[in-house]
Amino acid sequence: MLWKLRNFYAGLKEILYVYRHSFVFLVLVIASILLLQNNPNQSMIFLRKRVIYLAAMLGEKISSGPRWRDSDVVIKELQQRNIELASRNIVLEDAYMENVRLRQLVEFRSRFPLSVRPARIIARESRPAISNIVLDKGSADGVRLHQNVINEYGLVGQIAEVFEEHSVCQMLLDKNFRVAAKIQRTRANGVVFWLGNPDEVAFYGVLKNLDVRIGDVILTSEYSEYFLPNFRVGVVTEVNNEIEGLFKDIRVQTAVDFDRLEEVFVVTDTSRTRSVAVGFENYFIVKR
Amino acid sequence: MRRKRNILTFSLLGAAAFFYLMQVSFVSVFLAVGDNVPDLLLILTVFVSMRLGQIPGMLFGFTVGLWQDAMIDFYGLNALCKTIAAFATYFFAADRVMLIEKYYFPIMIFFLSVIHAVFFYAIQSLDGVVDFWNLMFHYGLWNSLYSAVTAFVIYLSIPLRTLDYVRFNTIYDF
Repeated sequence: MLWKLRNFYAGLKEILYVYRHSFVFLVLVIASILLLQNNPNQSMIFLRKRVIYLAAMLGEKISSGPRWRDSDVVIKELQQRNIELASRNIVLEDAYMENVRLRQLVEFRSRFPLSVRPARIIARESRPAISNIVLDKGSADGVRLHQNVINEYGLVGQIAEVFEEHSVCQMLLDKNFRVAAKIQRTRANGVVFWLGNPDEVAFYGVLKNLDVRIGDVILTSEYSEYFLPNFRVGVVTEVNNEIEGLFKDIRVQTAVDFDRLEEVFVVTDTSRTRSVAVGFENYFIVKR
Repeated sequence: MRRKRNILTFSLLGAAAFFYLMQVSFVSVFLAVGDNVPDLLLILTVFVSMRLGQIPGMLFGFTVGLWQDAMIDFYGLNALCKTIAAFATYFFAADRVMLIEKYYFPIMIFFLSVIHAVFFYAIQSLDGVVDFWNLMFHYGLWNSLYSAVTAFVIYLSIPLRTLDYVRFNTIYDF
């Protein structure tokens, strides 16, 4: 009896050794799937905090350091007289563009009726589908969970996690992001969510008999639990009635250019009274 | 031998930490072309899997995948995809292609990155809200191409002696 058990054990060891690659693969795949099904738990949250803290710390240093474009220009200035003028021209153009952008931000902040806190993006996981950015402002700066994040063009996202000196913003182009919205012209309500296209979202829930036109502006609505009303979301680019079901298929070009996002504003004022005022949406700049 | 192996393990984890921090800060901010960025950790995972074997590659991929998952708060997603990529590396690597590794490596990265993207976006689109083909067409393929180009540049910029250390000086007894 014992020799049978020994033989079985030896055979098992042999099989495990021969198929060790597949065995390890299977174990790791099962571990991953278990993790996928148990999101999030406390130990993972602890690990996450550490990783984001590290990323934010390094990101802050890197993004506040000298830009390689500038250093490049300096080296070229020293090396070749001919290139000097062209390089300086590039720098001036860059500075001009930056100047325009910063002026827009300052103007926006000064005329915007809600209190906002400017924040810089210091790290991001750029893989689309789950789009998070790490901001350089945290609870010490008055940032709180679910506060709205905007820029001068419109809605960027909301604060999904807050640390003392940093916070994580979940962006509009995230597959788990939903926001109640309305059409500015007709006040028809619906829900905005992302479908997977760059800078394009879907506006769902508008009945087929309602009037929606290309060019209609989409704003956040009063029905949203976390979002203040009348933040600009985007402009309707496509309306399709030829689908099954009760609702129209509406596509919206986002107001914000997510590729070029560098600075954002966290809306620290959560009172709805000012954002429901007539003409509030006009504070946002219309993208050309 | 064990000492060398430990040195190598810690060096690789150090390199992974460096690549990871570069990925979320420098690469995402300065090297992003639109929404597309190269996946430095995938490049490193494939390299480890190719040079040290499937099992070290899979363990490495799983570990660094978990780091990446911390950023997107979706534990297991990158870990699973990187494990699969490391497992699949074996089917692309052969002794004879090692002779032209410099040119073959980016091609491998491209195909493995596509495999990685297929699993990554397939899981993302399981709920039927986002379209898998949209994600693959807009991001998956371009990210893969960018990763392949970056892999070639990295391969050229790191001295061959350093790269070869990960093959000839340590035997992983798996």
